[in-house]
Amino acid sequence: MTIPDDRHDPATAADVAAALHRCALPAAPLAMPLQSLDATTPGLIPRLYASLAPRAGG
Amino acid sequence: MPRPGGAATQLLRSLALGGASLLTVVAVTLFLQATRADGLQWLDLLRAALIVVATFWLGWGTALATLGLFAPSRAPRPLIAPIRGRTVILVPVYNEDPAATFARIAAMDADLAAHGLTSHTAFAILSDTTDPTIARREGFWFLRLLQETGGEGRIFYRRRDQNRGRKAGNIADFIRTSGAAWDYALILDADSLMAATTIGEMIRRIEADPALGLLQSPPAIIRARSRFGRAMQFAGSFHGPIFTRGLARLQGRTGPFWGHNAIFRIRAFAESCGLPELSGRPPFGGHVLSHDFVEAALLARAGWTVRVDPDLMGSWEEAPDNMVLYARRDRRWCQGNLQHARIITAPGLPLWSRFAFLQGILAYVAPVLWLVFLLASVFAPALAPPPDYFPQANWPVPVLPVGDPAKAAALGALILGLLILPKLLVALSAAITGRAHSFGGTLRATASTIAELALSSVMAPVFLMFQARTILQVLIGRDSGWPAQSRGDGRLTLAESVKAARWITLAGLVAMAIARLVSPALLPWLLPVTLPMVAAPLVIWWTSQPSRGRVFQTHDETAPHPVIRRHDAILARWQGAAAASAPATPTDLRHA
Repeated sequence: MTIPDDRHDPATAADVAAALHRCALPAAPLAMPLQSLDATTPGLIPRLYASLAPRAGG
Repeated sequence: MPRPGGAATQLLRSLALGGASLLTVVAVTLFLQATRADGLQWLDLLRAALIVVATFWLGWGTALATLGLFAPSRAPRPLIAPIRGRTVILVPVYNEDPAATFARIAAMDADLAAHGLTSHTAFAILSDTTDPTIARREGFWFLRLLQETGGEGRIFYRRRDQNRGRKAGNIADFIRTSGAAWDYALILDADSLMAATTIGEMIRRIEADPALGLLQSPPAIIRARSRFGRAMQFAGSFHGPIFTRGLARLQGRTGPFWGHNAIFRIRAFAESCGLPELSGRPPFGGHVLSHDFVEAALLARAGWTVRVDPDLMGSWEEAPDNMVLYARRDRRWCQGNLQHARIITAPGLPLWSRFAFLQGILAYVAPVLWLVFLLASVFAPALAPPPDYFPQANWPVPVLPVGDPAKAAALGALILGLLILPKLLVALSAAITGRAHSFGGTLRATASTIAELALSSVMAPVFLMFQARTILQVLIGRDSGWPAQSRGDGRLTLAESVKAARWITLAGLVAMAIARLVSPALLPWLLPVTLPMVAAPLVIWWTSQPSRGRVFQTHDETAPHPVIRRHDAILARWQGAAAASAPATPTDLRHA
C-alpha cells in the first residue's frame, strides 16, 4: 500500500474529500457562554503597565 | 489523600506557605546582616526585596518536593465499574507532521481495541492548520489512518478556515458544534500518547465522582534524543512525579490543568470555560494564551473539582530537543503566564486559583529577579558612600567597618541548598524505596541526578538571558504569535548556535568587564553565571547533540510501553510506504 501524500492528484484527492466528508463531526451543538474575567478594578501590574506604556497596554 | 478543601489540605497549605516564608525571612535577615557594614543604601533595600520574592519561589519548590516525598505513594486500586458515558479523544493540530500525529492515533486506537474500549471512545482531529500543503497532507494521512484502523464512524476530522482563539478557540468551536454528542473529552496534544488502560481508568474516575470536572494525568517525556532532551526527560520522569505528588496534596478541589493529557466533563467545561477576548491589546489583552490555567480556575469557580492524580502512569508527551526550541516554546508560555496578571483579580475565583496564577508568573519573573539582583550587587559597592572611619566626634581611633562574610556565605549556602536539595532528596528517596531500579539502579540514578544538576547549572544562566529577553519583548508589546511546535531531530550546528546566542556571549563579556571595573572583588563570584553566558553557543550546540549513554536512562527508554512500540512500528511502516511510493501512480491508494 502506498500513500502519495505529497502529490496532488485528482483521483486520490477525490478519495480524501469523500473520506473527510464521511468523517465530519456530528452536529450536536452545546452552548458555551462567555465568562467574565475582567475584575472591576484591574490588577496592580496591568495598571502599572498601562500607565507606563499606554500604547502597548491598550 | 486529603479531601478537597478539607482541614488537612488547609493545614498542608499553611505548612508549605509557612515553610517557604520562613526560609525567605532567614534569607533576607542573613542578607541584611551581611550588607549592613557600610550602611543600608537604597540599592541594598532593592536587593532585599528581590531576595524576598526569589527566595520564596525557591522555598516553595522545596516545600512541594518535601510534601511529595512524604505523601503516600500507593496508587488506589483500579476501578472496574462498567463505563456508561461516551468519551471523545480530542487531538488539536496546528501545522504538525500529520504522519507522526495520526500514527499515534492509530496506536492508541489499537490499544483501546485490545482493552475492549473502542465502543466507549471516539477520536476527533481538530485541525487549525494554516499551511495549505500540510493541510493537504493531513487529508491524505487521515485516509491512511482510516485504512489502518477501520475507524470510519469513530474517527472524525474537522479543519477550521479561521483559527480564531487559537487552541482554546479550537476546542470551544468543537464544543459549540458537536459537544453534546459526548459526555467526556480527553484532550491531547499532537505529540501526546496515552495507554488504553490509563484512558479507561480516567474515564472511570470521572464517572465515579460526579463533582469532578477535570482530571489531569502527569505526562512523562519520551523519545528525547539529545543530551538536553534526555536530561529533561530524566528530570521529568525522576523528579517530576515527586513534585506532582506534592502539588496534588495541596490542590484541594483547585488542581491544575496543563492543557493536554487530561479528561473533562464536557457540560461542565461548556458551562464554565467560555473564554472571552480580553479588552485591550496584547500582552495583557486579546485572546487568553495560556488558557489551561484559566479554564482550571473557571471550573473551580463554578464549583467543579479539578484534580491531578499523580498515580496515573501511561501518559506521555514529547519535548523540544534543544535549548533554542525550548526557549521558543517558553516564550509563548511566558507571554501566557504574564497575561494572567490581568486575570488574577477576576471575580469569584478561589484563592488557591489566584495563587496558581501567581506561581505561573513567578516561574518566569523569579529567575529574572536573580539577574536584577546580580546586576544590583555589581553596582552596589560603587554606589555606596565612602566609609566613615570616625563615626563619633572627638574619638581619636578610627573605626573600621566590619562586613559579615560568614552571613554572606550562609546566605549563599542557603540559596544553593534550596536549588539542589529537592533533587538530592528525591535521589535519596529513590534509593531507599527502590524506585531507582527503573532508572538503572541507585548508582546510575544518582549519577544521572548529579549530571542533570551540573548540566542545569551550566544551562541556567543561558535560559536566564532568554527569559529576560522574552519578558522584555512581551512588555514592549511584541506578541509571540502562535508558532507551530517544532518536533523531530533538534540537532543544531555550531553556526546555528552562535547565531542564536551570540548576544548572550556579548552580554556575558560586558558583564565581566563592568564587574572588573566596578567591583573587582565580586568578579570570581560572578563566574558561575558569566562563564556559561560567554560559552552560550557552545553550551547550546553541545547539549543539542545526540546522547546514547546510560546516564539519564529512564524506564520508558529501556522498557517502553506496548503503545509506544506500536506507534514506532506504525510510523516506520507508514514512512517506509510513503518513501517507497514516490514514483507511485495515482491508483495505488485506491487499489491498496
